Amino acid sequence: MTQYIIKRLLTSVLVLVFISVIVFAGVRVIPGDVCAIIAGDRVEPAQCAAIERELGLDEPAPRQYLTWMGGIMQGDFGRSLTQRTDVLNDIGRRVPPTVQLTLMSTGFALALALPIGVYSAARQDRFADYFLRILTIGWLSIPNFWLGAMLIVLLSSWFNYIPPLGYVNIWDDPLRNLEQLYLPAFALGLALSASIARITRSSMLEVLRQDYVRTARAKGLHEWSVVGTHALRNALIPVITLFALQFGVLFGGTVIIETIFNVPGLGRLLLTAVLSKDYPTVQGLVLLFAVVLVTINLIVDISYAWLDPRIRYS
Amino acid sequence: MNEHTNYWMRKRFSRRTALRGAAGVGVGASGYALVGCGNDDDADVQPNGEDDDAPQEQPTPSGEPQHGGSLSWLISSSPPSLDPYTQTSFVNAYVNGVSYSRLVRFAAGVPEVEPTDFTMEPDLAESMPESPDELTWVFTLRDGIRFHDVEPTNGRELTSEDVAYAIRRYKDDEDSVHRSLWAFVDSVETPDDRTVRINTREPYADTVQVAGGNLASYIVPQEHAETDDVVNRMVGSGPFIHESFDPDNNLHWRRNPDFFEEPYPYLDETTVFIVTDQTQRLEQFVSGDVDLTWIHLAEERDRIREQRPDAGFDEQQGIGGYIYMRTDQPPFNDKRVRQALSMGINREAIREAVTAGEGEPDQVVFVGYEFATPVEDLGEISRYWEYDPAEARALLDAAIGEGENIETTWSHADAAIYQQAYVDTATLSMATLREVGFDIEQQEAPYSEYISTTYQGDYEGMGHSPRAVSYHLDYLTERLSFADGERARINLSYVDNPDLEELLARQRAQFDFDERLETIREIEQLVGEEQYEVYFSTDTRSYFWNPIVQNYRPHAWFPYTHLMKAWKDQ
Repeated sequence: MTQYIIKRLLTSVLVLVFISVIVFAGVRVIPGDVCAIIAGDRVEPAQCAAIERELGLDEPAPRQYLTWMGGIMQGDFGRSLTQRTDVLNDIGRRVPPTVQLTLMSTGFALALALPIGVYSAARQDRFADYFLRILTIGWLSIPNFWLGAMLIVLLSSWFNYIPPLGYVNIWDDPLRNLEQLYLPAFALGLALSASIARITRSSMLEVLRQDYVRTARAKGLHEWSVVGTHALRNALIPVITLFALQFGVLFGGTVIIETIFNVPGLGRLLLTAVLSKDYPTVQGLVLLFAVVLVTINLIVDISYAWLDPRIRYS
Repeated sequence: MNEHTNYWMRKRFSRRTALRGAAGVGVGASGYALVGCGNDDDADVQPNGEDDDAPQEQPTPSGEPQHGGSLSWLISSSPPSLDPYTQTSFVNAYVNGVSYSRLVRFAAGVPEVEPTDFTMEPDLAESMPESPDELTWVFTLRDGIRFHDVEPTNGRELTSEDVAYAIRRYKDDEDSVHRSLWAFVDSVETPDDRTVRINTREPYADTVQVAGGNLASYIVPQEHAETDDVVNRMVGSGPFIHESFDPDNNLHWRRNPDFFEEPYPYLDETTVFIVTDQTQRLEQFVSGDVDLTWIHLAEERDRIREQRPDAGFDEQQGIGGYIYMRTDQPPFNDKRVRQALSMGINREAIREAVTAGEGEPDQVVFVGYEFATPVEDLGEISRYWEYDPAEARALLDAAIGEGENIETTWSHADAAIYQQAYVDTATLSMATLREVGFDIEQQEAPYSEYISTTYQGDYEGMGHSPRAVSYHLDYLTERLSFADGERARINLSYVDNPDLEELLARQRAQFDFDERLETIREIEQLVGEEQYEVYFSTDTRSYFWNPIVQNYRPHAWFPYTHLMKAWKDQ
């Protein structure tokens, strides 16, 4: 087991190094000139050269990469090209809204999906099952950016209501904070809830056909006790796997949802940084996203190995 | 002097509006109102039967001014930096004016001043400058001006040395992006603490406009300007003290209790929220959560008017867009090709599809200026604005051979910043141009890529951009200059015409506006004949505000200094 974990850890490090090279090269091959972004669209060539010198952009790319990675190892993500602020600090300030938004979305998705999935399986091929399956397929089909825009427009038109502007931290004003985030969390989590509901239903149907479930029923247990106590726990393994993998999709979804709902989180920072060709911020953020996703995958892999010893030897 | 700077921009629909408005705006504008009075159409009657053509009558403030309260407004993106020396971003101009002062400023904000009125009024200066010889401009500062009582200025007095430092920095500093704007200045002298003397290299008619414009005019103290803090914080002498900047979220200010001009500002605090999404901006205003909103096109305007009939409202002619092209190389070095391009665009159809038929139909080089000659008054060359596919094809046949087509590119930004109407205009234009014989490859790029490549002149074929309406005439002419063998930075069509160059230089030194207008007429004719740039119709832009905000009117260049004049009915 230890050997397996070490092997997976080394693979993850290699993946991260590969991603860092891709990210570093990627932001540099995008056409456009960082000078014009920093100094405006009327910048002169001499000023541009000075800016590039100051930012180290006149160095050969490999040296720039090594300088950047050397800094990362020491916790120095560099300085934003546009704001001239510490990138790690910028990222740190944007983590709370995004983490909260992601947690609220997942909480919302699970709260909606598990009852739907279980109920749908328990009522297989009945009206409720068909209705819920159509409903979840509908949710899966709705792009979150469209749903977000519709929520804003319809709530404003019908109820003259829109969540307040100006993000505040949950510790400063919990009610205002929740009012600002519940709609984006809903828009972000709806599609995830549909995916989880459908996998929960499938998984439940498989488990409900197992011998031990038949035994439980034969013992005279109440149906909901059979479903809730004996079947659900075992049906959750693939659900947790899907949930872990979908976490990356959620993280990516914040880029659009945070922009639509004006949440100053990591997604919005990434969008702003990409648009302004703020290399250090883009690199830092994408690397952070990569670390999160690789870590989640690592945990899932190790969990699988722990749950199913056959995986270690394959 | 004001009569040279008091331009009035036509409102939407027709020149009748312009003439009516100009008559009431000021000496300078009324002088220009004779221009183009030959065509008085009735296209400005709205579907609801109301004559919406009339200039928006703005109510006079109700009651006595009241101190206190908070005012919120919106901008569409985070300022890339708050440093006025290194930025030409319009977003910077919005927020810099809240904290920083200038020698003079737009006389904006009060109901009687039109959104596009360029008239200047004293700011740091106690009166408008004196210019005894058209080469020297003497500004006398108000007595007792103090910088904000925060680090690093701690409320110290502002002197003429601070003004001189700022101008020299804009003009000479390596990091300044405004050096060419101030290049007409030879030296700045400070005979005493309250006197600033600007000596120009040659007579420059736009000196006052540059000193009070929305860019490169703000006086930032040296002890702040030379720190990294200037990027994220504003320390000036303006009406509001900058308190916080949370990128992608908001900027917040509080009242400057020591502001040099009593009784301003009335408001205790003001906050601007950075809202990228247009829908969100609109709905925030509709639901009453913010006090000001701006730049809504026709459909959005109608929706807001329906849902917020109580809101203050103003409107102006927008700026439209234009096509620039590589006139230094084939095929656009042949003016017949450029003329064919212009005649192959169905502006009327585009206007109907994109801006609900609103806007000034045809534009010449001086867009937005009341004195600009209407296209139909340009004489023979006005035909280049008419959609005439047969004539366009004939011009192409003559230029490149019968039946031959032109393969070229059209580079433009996506809709993220310039909005969908801009992209739709490009797409619709290409459709009719293909029928004429232009085989166009559409090249759409993200804004950052576009602005740093195509908009820097790094393109082949054609490019497409919104047009900038400017508060000083020489900004527009800079688009067409190729002086001393060097292309001006925004001369995106690579225009290199000695006759035009002579005209541009001549008008810069003409202080008598009637004389300058004569030169402008020549420029209009020359540029119209050559079709160095091909112009689209304009649109209309709308502004709304909470009705409890009194003594407020929006201004086209948005240095929000004028918020100091507003108050809220408590």
